[in-house]
Amino acid sequence: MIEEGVFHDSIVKRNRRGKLWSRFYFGSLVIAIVALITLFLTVIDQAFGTVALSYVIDPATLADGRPLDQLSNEELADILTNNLSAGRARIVLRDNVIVNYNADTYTKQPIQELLQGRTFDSSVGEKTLGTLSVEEVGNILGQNLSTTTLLDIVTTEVIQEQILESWPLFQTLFNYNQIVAENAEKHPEGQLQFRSWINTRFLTTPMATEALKTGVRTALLGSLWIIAITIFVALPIGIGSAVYLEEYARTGTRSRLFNIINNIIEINIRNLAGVPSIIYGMLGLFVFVRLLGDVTQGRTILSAGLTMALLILPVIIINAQEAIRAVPYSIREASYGMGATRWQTVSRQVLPAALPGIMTGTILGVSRAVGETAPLIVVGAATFIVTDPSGFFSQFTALPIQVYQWTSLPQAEFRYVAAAAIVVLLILLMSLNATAIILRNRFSRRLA
Amino acid sequence: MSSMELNAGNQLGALSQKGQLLASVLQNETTDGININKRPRVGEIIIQNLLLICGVVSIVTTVLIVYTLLNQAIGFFNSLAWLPARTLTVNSSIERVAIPNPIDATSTEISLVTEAGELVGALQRIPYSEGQMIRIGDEIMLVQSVGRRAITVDRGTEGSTATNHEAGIPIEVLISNPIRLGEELSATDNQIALQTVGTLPFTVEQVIRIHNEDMRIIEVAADNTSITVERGYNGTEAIVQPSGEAVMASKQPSLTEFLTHTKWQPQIGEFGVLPLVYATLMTTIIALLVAVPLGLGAAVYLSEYASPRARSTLKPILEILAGVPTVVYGFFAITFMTPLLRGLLGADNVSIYNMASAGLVMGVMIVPTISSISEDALSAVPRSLREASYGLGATKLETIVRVIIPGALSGIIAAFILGMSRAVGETMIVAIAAGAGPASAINFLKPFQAGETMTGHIARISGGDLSYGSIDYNSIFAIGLALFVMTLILNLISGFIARRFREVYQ
Repeated sequence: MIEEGVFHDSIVKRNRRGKLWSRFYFGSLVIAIVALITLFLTVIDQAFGTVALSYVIDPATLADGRPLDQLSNEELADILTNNLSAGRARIVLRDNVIVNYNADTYTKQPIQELLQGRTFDSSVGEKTLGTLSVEEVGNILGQNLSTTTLLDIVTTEVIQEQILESWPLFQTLFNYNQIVAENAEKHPEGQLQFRSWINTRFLTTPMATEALKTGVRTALLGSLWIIAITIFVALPIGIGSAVYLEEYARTGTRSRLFNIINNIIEINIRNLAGVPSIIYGMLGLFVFVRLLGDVTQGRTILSAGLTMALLILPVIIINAQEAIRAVPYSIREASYGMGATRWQTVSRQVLPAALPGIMTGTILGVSRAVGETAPLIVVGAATFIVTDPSGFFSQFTALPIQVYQWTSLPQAEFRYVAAAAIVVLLILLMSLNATAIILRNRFSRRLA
Repeated sequence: MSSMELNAGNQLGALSQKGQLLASVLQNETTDGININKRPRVGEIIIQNLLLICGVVSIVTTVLIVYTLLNQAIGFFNSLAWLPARTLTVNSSIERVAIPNPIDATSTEISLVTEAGELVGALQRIPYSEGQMIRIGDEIMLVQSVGRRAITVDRGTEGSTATNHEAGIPIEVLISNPIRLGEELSATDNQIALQTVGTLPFTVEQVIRIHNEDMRIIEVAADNTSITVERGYNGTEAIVQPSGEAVMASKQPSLTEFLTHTKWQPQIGEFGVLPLVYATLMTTIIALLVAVPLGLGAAVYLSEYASPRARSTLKPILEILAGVPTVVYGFFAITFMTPLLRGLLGADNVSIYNMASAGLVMGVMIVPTISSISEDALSAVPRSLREASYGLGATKLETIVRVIIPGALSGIIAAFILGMSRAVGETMIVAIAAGAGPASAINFLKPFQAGETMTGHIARISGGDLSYGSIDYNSIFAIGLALFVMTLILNLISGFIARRFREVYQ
């Protein structure tokens, strides 16, 4: 017999140990979630913050204290006229309005030839670029450029903004005095300003070599192009494979050869899902970029999209298989009972019922493709392009590629730019996943 | 009555009509031309085959992956690295001293101080200088820096292997003598006079290159002053070569060297993949040290402790971790984890790029992989087993540790191995945070130092402008093949364990 005291003591000890370990189990979950929150906070911390800027001309003095973004085209053109030297103004005109010029002859050509199709006063038509006055250049700029472009030119040419130093968000919020002190000590001329690194300008301008001017436009468009190609290729093939495996391969007696093929396909898909993504990149580099180089034109959006399609194919197939499997068998039997053929059953009963599930799986696969970086690096993303992708055969860059490049740059400001690009990437992913969740909820409601 | 008869007659007639219809159906003859037993329509067959083709695409993908990697990796083993040919001779003017202490295969520092605290061999100062090659036993080392009491070296250079050395083995200083043409060579001359010291490092059949012209060696003269060659080899043009032109020797990677050598720098003929494998293992181990306890703990909590409501909110949150792009984790590692480690352990001990930071963040990344598969396995253990355990008086913890976890062990181990496979194949975190540069095996077991993993190396090499013919280009496919084989084996083991050792419950 166990004495009561001993038994009681051991129970207490065992329960205490149980409690201790239950805390460990809960703790591991909490640590994982805290890591996630820290990750998001780190990104937010870096995506906003304070910058110390220096100007050659203070923007506040340019337009009698009015904010520059409220000025009209004429007023902005006036600012340029008043502040630029004639030579500089001509270069601005050349780079922004004329754009396509023959480097050898353009200085001798009359303006009306250089500005074909643009608006300009007829009085300057006969002059050459070298004889234009600052006022005339200002007029042409004001007539031909959008307000945003003019504002950009004012910022870069007149104000000549420069980042001296930048600080992250939480330091700005909780320790602003230190920033002020640091700034006063290091850069007496530096003007502190709160800056959201992610802003409309950032979204709408292409890449640039300076942190203040760079943007994600090219990368965002590149990502969208790649997604489009990926879906266009992977969705039909993925659904086709899933339908084959679920509706054709499983049922019906068939020759042994077919059974072997079906088994190989199943096992193969499971293994493909575990292949590291960088290996797909090497496949893309060798097969799409080199072997099929005549079709894909080398390191293009098409090559990248095809590589990504192969990468997410297993994800789409596995998810679509599950969605098809979830369609009750009675529906198929009812359809067969009505005399429908197999394809009629699949196309009119099974696929419509499974579609929301298939879409959910596809979106999950696509959001994986959106975030993948390694295969694109290997396939050959361009390191620096400023032109929007225009078709299958353009060079490309993508959001995660930009994040990687900016993170790898030594200048501290680009860490903030990278964070802003991450925010854009995460918003894109979140909207994709929200769509998936909405579809899933609809789907489950309908089955119930 | 008549109506009744009529009715009965009608019914009979209808019955017999039905019987006829049935019979005709059974005989494949229907009244309106529908034939149920007819072969499927052509459209059905076409569609079925189209679907089969879709299914086969995934097989084609696998075949293409294997073909790509094998084809290009073979290209790597057939490619040649061109190095200045030279001979190594012992510099006899520097006194030979014996190493006072044994040297470990992984240490890079060679102490030259005896137990008495003096320099060995009564030296006044260390006689070696930076950039010199020294030989201890069979191993050749490159002196990196010279201190007052010890030297740091690059181990296992010149194709030798880093090994352990006993105390008392002499250190020899080597001189490298470049091999040059001794006299001008006409475009037709096959006999090449060479200007050199010591034994020529050439073998018959070896290909050498002198200023864009390749030559195949036919004979090496016994007196080491000349060789006989076949001019204009490999389609190159035989040209007049001025006296003093440097001779380049080719080096071809061998599978043995690839798998055993401890240095990776293909451009200069170092073809050992081990350092990259070591760095991969290092980051993977660190990641697993984080992910295994966290993932298993979270799985146990979710499956055994959490209320259904808590589970339905906590699990999706955990799964967000799996949806975050890896490049974001890389950013997190370099902007948060690395400064944190440097703050905790001192900036002197932790380099800016280090394997620990990458490994820790990678661990966080694979927590959801491990936890969700483990949780499925834990939930599959039937309620009856838990109740039996409670019935025997076990506490909840004892039930979990002694009954549920053993019952789900196959699933849990499969989850660990799958997590490991993900860590091995992960690229962006290590490419951003773990460092770069020519790798040597010595960084193993130094988690706070930079180390380039297999994936990180592939990403760095292919990120630049890669020319397709170069040895760098081919080398990434050899690494890719090794990586593919590693992850494939891990995935197969994981699947095998999950199937073979699964406890089957009703």
